[in-house]
Amino acid sequence: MLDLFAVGISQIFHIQVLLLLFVGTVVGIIFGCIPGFTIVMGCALALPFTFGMSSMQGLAVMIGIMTGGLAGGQITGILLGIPGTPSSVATCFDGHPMSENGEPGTALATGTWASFFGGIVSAVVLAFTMPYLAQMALKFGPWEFFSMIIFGLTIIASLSGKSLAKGVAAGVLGLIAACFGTDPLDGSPRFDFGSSELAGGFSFLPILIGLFAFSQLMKNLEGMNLKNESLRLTRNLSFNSKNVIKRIFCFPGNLLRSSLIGTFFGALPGVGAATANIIAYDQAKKFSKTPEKFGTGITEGLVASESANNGTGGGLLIPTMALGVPGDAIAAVMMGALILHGIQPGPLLIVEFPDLVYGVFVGYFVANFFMLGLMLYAVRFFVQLTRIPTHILVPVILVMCSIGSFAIQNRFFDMWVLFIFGILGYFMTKFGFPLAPTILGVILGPVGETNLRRALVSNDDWTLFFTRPISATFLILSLVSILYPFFQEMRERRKKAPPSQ
Amino acid sequence: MKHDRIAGILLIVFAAFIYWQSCRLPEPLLQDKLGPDALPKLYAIILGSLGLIISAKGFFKATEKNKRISPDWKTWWHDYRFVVFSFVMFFVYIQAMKYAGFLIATLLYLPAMMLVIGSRNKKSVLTAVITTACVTLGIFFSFTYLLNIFLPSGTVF
Repeated sequence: MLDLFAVGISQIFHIQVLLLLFVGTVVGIIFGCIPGFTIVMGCALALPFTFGMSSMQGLAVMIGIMTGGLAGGQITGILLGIPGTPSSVATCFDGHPMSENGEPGTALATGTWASFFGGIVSAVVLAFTMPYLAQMALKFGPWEFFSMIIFGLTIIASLSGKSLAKGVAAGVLGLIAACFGTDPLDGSPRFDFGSSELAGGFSFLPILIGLFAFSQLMKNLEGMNLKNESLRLTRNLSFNSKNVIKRIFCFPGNLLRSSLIGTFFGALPGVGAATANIIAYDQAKKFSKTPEKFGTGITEGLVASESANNGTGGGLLIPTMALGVPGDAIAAVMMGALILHGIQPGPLLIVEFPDLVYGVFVGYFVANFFMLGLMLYAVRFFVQLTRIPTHILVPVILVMCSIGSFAIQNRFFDMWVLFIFGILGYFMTKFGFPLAPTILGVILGPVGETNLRRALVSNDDWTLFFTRPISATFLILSLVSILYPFFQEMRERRKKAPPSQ
Repeated sequence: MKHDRIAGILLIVFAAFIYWQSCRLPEPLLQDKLGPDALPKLYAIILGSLGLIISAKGFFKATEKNKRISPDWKTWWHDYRFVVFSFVMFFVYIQAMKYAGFLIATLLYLPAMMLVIGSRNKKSVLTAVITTACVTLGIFFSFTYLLNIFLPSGTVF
């Protein structure tokens, strides 16, 4: 095991890889801290830049963006009360009051150190669970893989949106989009409508950029979102790290619990950082001796939210790398990055490319240190960036979107794909459909279909899906995840019913 | 919800289209039990039924509340005009890149977008021009010389 870590360290500690990891972290914090820009958007736009790099270098950029983005959301969250990303919503509850009370520096330092510890805890969990999970998954046959993919898709469809029907519909739309192009088994073209370009199918990257960058940019241009609230930074931003660390470690249980909550929910398909920070905040409140102080600018609340959202980073990578099933949109982009570099994520990954897997572990670890340094010493720079007006930023990013889509295969068709999926994504969000299930459908659709049909070719007995224990467990879990929202709705109705009558 | 009705109906139409197209796919090979058409058909059926559920829910909720929101085009236009402009301009931008290539298309597209969305006084024209020049040339040189990634080149120039 230790020698593998040594291999990972030797992968990361190249000047180029370290530099890219650092640049990635900077980009991540930028996309994290600007409200209306998301981590997924940052990852999707940076992906084309990594084409010319080696796979380790490309992954380093992605890891940096993820780590930086998860922490960067707190900057505007604390200073303005507007979360930079959905993953720092709970950070505002205590972070903003603390900054209003005249302690913006302390608040930022607390959040940063909490993010750092959350990230480190999850890095440790990642490094010690992922290999075991992969080893378990090595015994999977096509039946287990198919059922696992069904589970991944159903749980994200049922958890990511408000309406189950819309979540599932969004997932199925992604599955259909993945059907376009060559059939994965017998190679015949599907839905090509006589066009050679459609026969090649939609590439993953333009769809991703369209759904998560283009549509979000359009949303930023809506009249009501255009009012720029510019950040005023107070003169004295004293971080006082020593004191802050002392205050964080007054509640070691809180820190550890929140980090583990983050890691756990990050690893669970369907729930990402956006949910984990709120759950951790609630739990911290429940376990606290002074729950009434939550929301007034208390250290515990801020620590809970920030350690949880950075904790998801390591968690997200566990199923993505071990099973090839991404937990949410960020993980889906990470998986897309692997695929673009010719590496198929899944249990075989750690067998075939142990250097890469351990490189990711070490890289994630190092990225947390970069994040810490950047957040503590360069926060002023990031705050300045949030003041760039929308009307400058959006067109520039739109140009990046189009060339990013073009660059993957050098075809104009991909820019149209970007445009069409951008419009689709925009209307989906307008109509209340979640986007994460769609991108998961696009990624997992072909894998699921191949495994299903491969299973039936090798043995035409349908019942194997239900009689092989692991496969059956996944299918039962999928059923539970589909039925769970119904139960929840019924319970809520029962709760709501008496006062309304 | 009026939105849900529209979304549901659109989903049904799209699902029907996909199902119809799947029927025209070739026959499966011998040992392949499912063939290329099986899953798209299944997806279409699921999507169609979900569309039914969503639109039915939309109708049900609309009659329940019996609330009609009269569309106010003026406020709608005020809120969404930039989105509409951006859709149109992005379309034109892609077309322009096809003929004129990345450099020229972007040099025109960026300032146009910035001035349409932002304010139009002397200072903002100046910032638009400067950022356009920096961004376009920056992307051009870093992609072609540093990253070795092709940019769209036009057919005319």
